[in-house]
Amino acid sequence: MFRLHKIYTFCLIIAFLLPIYGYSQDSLIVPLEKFVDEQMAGFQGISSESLLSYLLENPQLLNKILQHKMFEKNRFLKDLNLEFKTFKANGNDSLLGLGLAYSYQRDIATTTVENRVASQTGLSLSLQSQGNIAFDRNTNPADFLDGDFSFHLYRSWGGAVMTSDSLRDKLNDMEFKLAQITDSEALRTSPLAKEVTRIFQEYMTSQFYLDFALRGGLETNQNFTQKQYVFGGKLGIDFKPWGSGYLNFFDWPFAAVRFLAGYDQELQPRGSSFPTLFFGVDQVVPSGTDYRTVIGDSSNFLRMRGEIAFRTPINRSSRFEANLRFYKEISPEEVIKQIGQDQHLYFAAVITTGSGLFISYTNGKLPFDLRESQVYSLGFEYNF
Amino acid sequence: MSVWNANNRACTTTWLTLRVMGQIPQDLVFRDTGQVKMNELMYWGELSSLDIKQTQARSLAVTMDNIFRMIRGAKYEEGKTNQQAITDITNTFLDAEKTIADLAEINDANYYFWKEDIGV
Repeated sequence: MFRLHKIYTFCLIIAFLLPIYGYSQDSLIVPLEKFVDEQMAGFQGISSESLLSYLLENPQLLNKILQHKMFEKNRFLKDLNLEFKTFKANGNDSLLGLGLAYSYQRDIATTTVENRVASQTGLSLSLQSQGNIAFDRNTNPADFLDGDFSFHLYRSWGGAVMTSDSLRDKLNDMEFKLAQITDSEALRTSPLAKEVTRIFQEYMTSQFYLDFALRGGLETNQNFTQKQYVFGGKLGIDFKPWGSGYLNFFDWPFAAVRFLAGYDQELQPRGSSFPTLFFGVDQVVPSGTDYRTVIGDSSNFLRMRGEIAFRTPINRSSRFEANLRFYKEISPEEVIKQIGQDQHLYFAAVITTGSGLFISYTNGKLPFDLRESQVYSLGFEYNF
Repeated sequence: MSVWNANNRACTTTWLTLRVMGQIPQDLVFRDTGQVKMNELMYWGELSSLDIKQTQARSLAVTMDNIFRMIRGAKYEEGKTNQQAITDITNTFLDAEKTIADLAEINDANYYFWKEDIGV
């Protein structure tokens, strides 16, 4: 007999497929049937329970079905990103389960306040939400969903300077010639490509971007037993030394690796990889049964949060990425400090390769995660 | 699906701009770039929060707009505005499954690139 979460997952899969069969064109239904038949060709004669167990433990196949063009044409929400994943519970290697990672993000309305030569100021209203949902909650290592509406005021300074008509003609010609190159190595070592890079470095300047927003949102675990309403402000800071990559001292070690490995022909830190910063202050309104209710303090509290994100190439297909987040309650009650819930620090780093092999490290905890964990993992991800 | 064509100035300029912005590998040839997805661009971090991604996406959109207008000499198409172009580029950057060809199609709709109609 199927376990309850497997029945739920099976119904979820059917729920994705039914609207497609109901509303899609015949020209896409047949290719989808044939596509599914091809994927299932190796499973003939296998019991339904074994088949379902395989699907639950191999989310890549579900993701491949999700990326079929029939689903692309009929996405319920155009900007909703979904990905099936296999989750492994912290400290329990035998506890695996299927889950879904989602994210949705969109500017609903925008208006430009000022648009001068190299500075822009604007207002926007945005909606965003993201999280991980495990079909068996006990396997979810990152049980934290959040979403908010926010009203932004953004401003950008610098980034580029005006060029002459003759240089624009020249760049058009150079661009057309570069687009004709079909060999990767020829492009990478092309003197024309080097000249284009030099010209852009001369006319691109450092760019400062600030994004201040007021927001109202919700943070919750996946079954909504622990949740918090949040109201506050946030500030995003993005600095990019486009023409002066040497200012990005975070990238110097990786620039050395790229140079020594022969990927870069000279020592060349990337201005584009300069870390992005984020800060926020929220009035948090707890709701539901959680550790704060248990210890007798369910009052509202003020919290700071921050994030630093960094990502850079190691070679053509390998990337290094690091992310540091902190959450700190301002003037917490003593009992909150005693159980270590007044502040959270979470760090994650990963090296990914084009072959699918990855190495990752995480340390710390997110809100609602009452355990601090340190996880090293070495794995392999196969992309169809 | 959007058409990826070396004779379309929006396609070639989008490719070259992403290249100088460090968002695609330096040896990724134009022919192979159209089907690259937004979640394969350099800025797209798997570990990043949506707040960080939103900051980065709009910052990159402004950079792309600056490069198009100031360095490459592009102007907005008739009836199109700065806010529309920035919003369209930002929302495309934030959609993991959109491709660079989709981004070029949006840019083609919003910008009149330098001498694009006379093929110079």
